Amino acid sequence: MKATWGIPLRSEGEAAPARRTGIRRLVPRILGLPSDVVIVLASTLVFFLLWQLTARILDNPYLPGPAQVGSALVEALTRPDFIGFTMGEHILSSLSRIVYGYVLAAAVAIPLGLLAGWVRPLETFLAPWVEMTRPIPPLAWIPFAIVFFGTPLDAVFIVFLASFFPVFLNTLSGVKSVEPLLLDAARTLGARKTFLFTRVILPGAFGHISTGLRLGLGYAWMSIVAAEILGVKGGGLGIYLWTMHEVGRFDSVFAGMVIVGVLGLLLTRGISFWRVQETT
Amino acid sequence: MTRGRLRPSLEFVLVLLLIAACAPAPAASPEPVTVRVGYLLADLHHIPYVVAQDAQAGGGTSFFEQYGVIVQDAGGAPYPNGGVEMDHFAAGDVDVGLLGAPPAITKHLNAAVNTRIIAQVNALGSALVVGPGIETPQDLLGKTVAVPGHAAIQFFLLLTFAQEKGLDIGEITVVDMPPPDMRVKLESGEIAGFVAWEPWAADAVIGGAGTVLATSADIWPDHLDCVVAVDQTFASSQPDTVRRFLQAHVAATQWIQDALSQPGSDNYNHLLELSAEFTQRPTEVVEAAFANITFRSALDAEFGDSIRSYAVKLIEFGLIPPEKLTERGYSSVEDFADAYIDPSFLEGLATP
Amino acid sequence: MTDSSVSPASELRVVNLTVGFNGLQVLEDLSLSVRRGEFVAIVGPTGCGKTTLLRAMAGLTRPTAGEVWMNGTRVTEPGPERGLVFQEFALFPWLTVRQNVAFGLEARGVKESAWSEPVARHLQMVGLQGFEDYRPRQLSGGMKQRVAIARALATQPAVVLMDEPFGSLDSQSRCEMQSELLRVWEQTRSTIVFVTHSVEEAVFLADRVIVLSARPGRLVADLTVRLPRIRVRTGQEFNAVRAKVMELIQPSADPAGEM
Repeated sequence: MKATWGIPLRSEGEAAPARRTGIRRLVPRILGLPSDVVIVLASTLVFFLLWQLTARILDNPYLPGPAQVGSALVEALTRPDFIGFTMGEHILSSLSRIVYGYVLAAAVAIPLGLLAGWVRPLETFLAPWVEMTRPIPPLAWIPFAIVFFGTPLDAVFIVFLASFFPVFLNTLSGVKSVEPLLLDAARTLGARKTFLFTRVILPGAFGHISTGLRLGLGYAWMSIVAAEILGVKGGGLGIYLWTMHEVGRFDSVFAGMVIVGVLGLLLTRGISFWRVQETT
Repeated sequence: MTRGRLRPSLEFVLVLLLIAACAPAPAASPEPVTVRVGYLLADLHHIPYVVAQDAQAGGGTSFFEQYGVIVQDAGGAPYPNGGVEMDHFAAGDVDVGLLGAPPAITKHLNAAVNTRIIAQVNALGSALVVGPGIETPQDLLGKTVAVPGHAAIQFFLLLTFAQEKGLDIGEITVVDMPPPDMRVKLESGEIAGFVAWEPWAADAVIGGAGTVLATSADIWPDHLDCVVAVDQTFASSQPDTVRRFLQAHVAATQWIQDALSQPGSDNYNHLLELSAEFTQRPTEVVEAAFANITFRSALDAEFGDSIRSYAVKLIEFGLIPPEKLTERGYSSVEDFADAYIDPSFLEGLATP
Repeated sequence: MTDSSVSPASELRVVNLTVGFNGLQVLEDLSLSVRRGEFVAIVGPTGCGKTTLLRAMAGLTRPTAGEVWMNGTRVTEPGPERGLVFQEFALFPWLTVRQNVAFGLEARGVKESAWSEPVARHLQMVGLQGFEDYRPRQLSGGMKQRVAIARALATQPAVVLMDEPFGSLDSQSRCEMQSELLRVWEQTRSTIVFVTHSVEEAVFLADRVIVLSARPGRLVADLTVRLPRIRVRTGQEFNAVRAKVMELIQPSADPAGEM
């Protein structure tokens, strides 16, 4: 498993890939900080500079600069909006919607994925369903969800769809990626079906499952904010973004986007499981 | 179809150009300039725009033709609410637009959309319609109420209503949707009520889907509703075109006022036909709806008061932070109203 | 199923074994037997089916024809009386060293209170005391293979099958591990079937060296090495045996070319 976006640059406690060292050597150690921290700081600085520059060149309130967004952020966090909701209430609304859909998705997807990875005919049976349903963006189901489920189940359904597939598919591939050698080793040590499943398949697939859970949560988060914007209602960050857009508070829209981004990052990082190391 | 009628085909434009070229030109009209007009979806308040395009209403040639104006629906028009129309102003899609005063004020102050108000369209003309089970304002708590948009006057009226009745707006779920969708959602129970422009309030009442809990006259007597706004860049480069557009608008408004004062007349019936086609509602619905709307185009002293009141209330409701006034270069609400209302075009009108 | 013809001293017997995969014949009509406590090495050219033979003995690979017998019982699946040590170690990366070694005992339902002593003893035997709580990724190749050996021995199998266990080690740790293995073997007296592609390793370790032909693998020779342990790799007699085995594997090969 490689470091991917959204995953800390140096979380593994392992040596960084060799090709990085050359570049890292070029970065001076500033204030005794590790060079990666310096690069991240520089990247952040460049981001804000580019943002500020673009905002200044365009000079259009539809793209507010960092300073305006900063003060809108303070406003969002300290004052209720014109509907009377505080930011905390918006966040809780969105989060509580996610919890149900995501937990439900994980509760179905993990056992089903384990079973499908273990029982070949089941995988073949499910494949057409999964292959056909998966490419449909969860948001395409919104009209259906609103009519057939209604608030708040519509949101739960959308989150379920968004997080189900990454969890299911990663669990499935996790089971299939367990090294046959480890299964052989376990069998020569006297392991039978149940023991093999709980002690080899399950922990062997764990890395993939946790990746699936992390991806699923990311998708859930994206889908709930978009679903709230597109019509699933009742208070939430998507509602905040949408109403602020409607009244032309683009500084607040960007402040909301910052909050959505930061929370999404914290959420996916929050799910940290121990990582399975690759076998020799 | 309404859209077909409002979007002149190429042939129609060519014929128009031919007529314009052959007919004795009214006033001193040089090359006719096409005006891209923004307006709202099936909003009866915007019937002057339809009337001004109608040959019969103009007595053979439409008011726009008479004043040498070629109109064209702006990109994306008709819009689901005034906030969206302001976005299209910002995008440069709209030259002149009809929309509610609150979105015109809100998005000018919040997002610096470069518009000015140059005429009035109508007063009143919205209502809070509720479904079965809602009898008092308090019954709305915990329920869902639809409005066309959060920058729209209908949301403003709902906020005002809630304030007057001592309701916490946070306990009412406000959703937005185009008014033509609202009756169905009310009937299905998905929403408990809605605030919409006419004829959608009258439509739901006549169709038996709901009853009026408050008309806009109940909430704010004789309140200003829609205005004509102009893109400031267009206004400064084409002042004569703007003036001619307003001439047609004033003429159409006058024609509507006259028609409505003579029920049963040919013009009255023709107005109902035009309105029914524009909104896709039966004539009895639009006839009932007209009773709730006052059409007037003038920018009088009360108009300025209304704009100031809107600005004050929008700031009070939190839709516009007070610092946005200074950010846009206005020292006060009075200063803003003076600058944002531009009566110069209406004052300079010539007769056809 | 029992085999009445089995001699009491013969623990593991391979009878007319033929194994093929998708029409490719890997082993052909191979027969051999291993006595209790014996250290048998199997050598042969690359691809001669050494590993397949070992997997068939372990019960992981099903024969196309012929059979494998263990103490008079026909082998049809893996069993704890036949431990297997893989070249690739095959340690469970999510378990500690201690948990890896305890795996076979736990699979048989032994509780921690009962397995902690034998596990500690086997870790001690392979010299891993102090590394009990390490994870496999923290260990060197030689240490990983010690864990794998301790894991295979912990269930006290009658036969330990070893598939080129030192193949991926550097030559220094390889020699070290060979001596260690002999020491452990002396202690446990379990039967060992040891597959290797190194003739030197086979001659250094084994009581008997079985030579297989190139694919399909057939029995070429079954040599008894009558040199006293610990054998000296540079000794004249050692080299003579080694050269003979080399000759049997590849009649024209230059003995010096062998690693």
